[in-house]
Amino acid sequence: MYTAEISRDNPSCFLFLIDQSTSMEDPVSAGEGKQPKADGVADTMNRWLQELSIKCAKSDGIRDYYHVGVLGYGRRVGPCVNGTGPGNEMVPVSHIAENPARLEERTKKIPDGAGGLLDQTIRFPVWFDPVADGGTPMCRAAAEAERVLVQWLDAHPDCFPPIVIHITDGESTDGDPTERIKALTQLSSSDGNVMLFNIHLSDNPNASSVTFPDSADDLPDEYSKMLFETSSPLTPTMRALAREHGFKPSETARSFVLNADMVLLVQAIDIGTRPANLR
Amino acid sequence: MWVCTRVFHVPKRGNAEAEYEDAVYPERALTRQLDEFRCAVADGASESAYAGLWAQLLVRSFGKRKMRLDRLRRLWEQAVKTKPVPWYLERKIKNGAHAAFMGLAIRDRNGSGRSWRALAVGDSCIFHVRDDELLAVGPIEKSELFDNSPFLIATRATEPIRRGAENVSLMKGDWEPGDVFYLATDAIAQWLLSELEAGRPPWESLRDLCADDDTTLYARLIDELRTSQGLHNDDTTLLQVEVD
Repeated sequence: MYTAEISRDNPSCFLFLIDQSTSMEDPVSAGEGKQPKADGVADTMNRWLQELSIKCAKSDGIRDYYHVGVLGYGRRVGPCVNGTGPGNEMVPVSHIAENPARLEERTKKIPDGAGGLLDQTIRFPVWFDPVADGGTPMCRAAAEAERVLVQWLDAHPDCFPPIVIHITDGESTDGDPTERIKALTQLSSSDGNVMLFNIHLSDNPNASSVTFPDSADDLPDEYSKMLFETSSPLTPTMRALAREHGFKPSETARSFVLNADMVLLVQAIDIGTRPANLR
Repeated sequence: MWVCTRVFHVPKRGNAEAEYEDAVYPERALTRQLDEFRCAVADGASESAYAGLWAQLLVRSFGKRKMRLDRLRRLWEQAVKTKPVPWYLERKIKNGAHAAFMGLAIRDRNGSGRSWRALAVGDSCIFHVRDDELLAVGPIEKSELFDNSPFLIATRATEPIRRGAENVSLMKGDWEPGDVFYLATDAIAQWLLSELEAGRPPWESLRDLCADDDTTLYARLIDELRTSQGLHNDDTTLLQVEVD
């Protein structure tokens, strides 16, 4: 399981589910600056889409090793990235890479090779700006994600299993979403079940930052616990990668983070040799 | 000494020939009498951009005794920064290119005798064979030790490679007339080791394959191994060197 080769002939997919409800205006409880959760969602989404694009970049362009869909939920539920629409929720990653909303210039510190740091200007693509508008129809969003994934799996029955990345503050307004969300990970290709990563942005004053836990015991509220329970186990490759980055996931760790980041997991997607000395 | 080489390569299944990112030196078969012979294979990492170019620079410079990494890094930078590129390629180029490398120098000199030395970084391997018996293999000696994330030679100066460093392997030995060396990139090297471990030394059939005029035999073998024996789908390069 989870060994299917990802290729342009047999691509995999990433489906993002992003909470755009009014409650996302509130600040997160942990971290410096206490930015609104919606800002955290936009930052996280932009980083994921950047990393997915760069991973597939070659000298002759982007190789479409996977397709990408982004479903937002708030005032409405549906695709929310350029070039997608109802019935066309998934697009090749090259389409994402070629169509950011804008390119910003940012300055980054990089090692100069002699122990110091240099300022380097980079073009920073932005696809998403913060949105916080409407309720949190998580059940409807999960149902829509299921429909999109069923369609994808019909067309790609032997693909490396799709990965769903769900970014939310966890407060569903259209009922208990637990079973709906669990249903996503019961879908499968011949290579294994759909994997669900949950990123919980919480304003609970008791919420500290948690990455890849193996138990819900220390999580601050029912929302966190529900998201933990529905998250897929990390694969051995993902655990090894997390260890390389200084985390200590146990054998039963889940792909769940609370007020933290998991974009490093992009590196665990195997599309060919990844140099050990590239960080 | 007389040196006779054969070169075989097949791109990853699903990729075009132009997308092949291994490199080999010399590029074509040759038969020649000389005192010293240098050859190399390199394997550009698929997650890098312009990795094939980096692999080419490494093997050619080693073959021509001009392997100075700072100079090669400048050449790579100059070659990839000739025109404006999309944001994602700009970022990828900043990450640099990476390649596994295996270089072999064989000498037959009065006084110093018949000797060979090899230099390796990453998971491309050398096999030294005499009378269908394996005398030496490295830097990886067991098929289970290959993984998808080897330490490689990088174009970034922030990732230096030095002789004596943990990730650089140096090997040496003596040779006799009739010996055969194989330089192999990771997929075929791993298969050769797994055949040995299974008690099926591949040397006789490999020698026959290399001797055959039909150069499509290697591609057919690789295709068959990918389908039936789980050979890793990757650019697959083999250089055979016979010395006499």
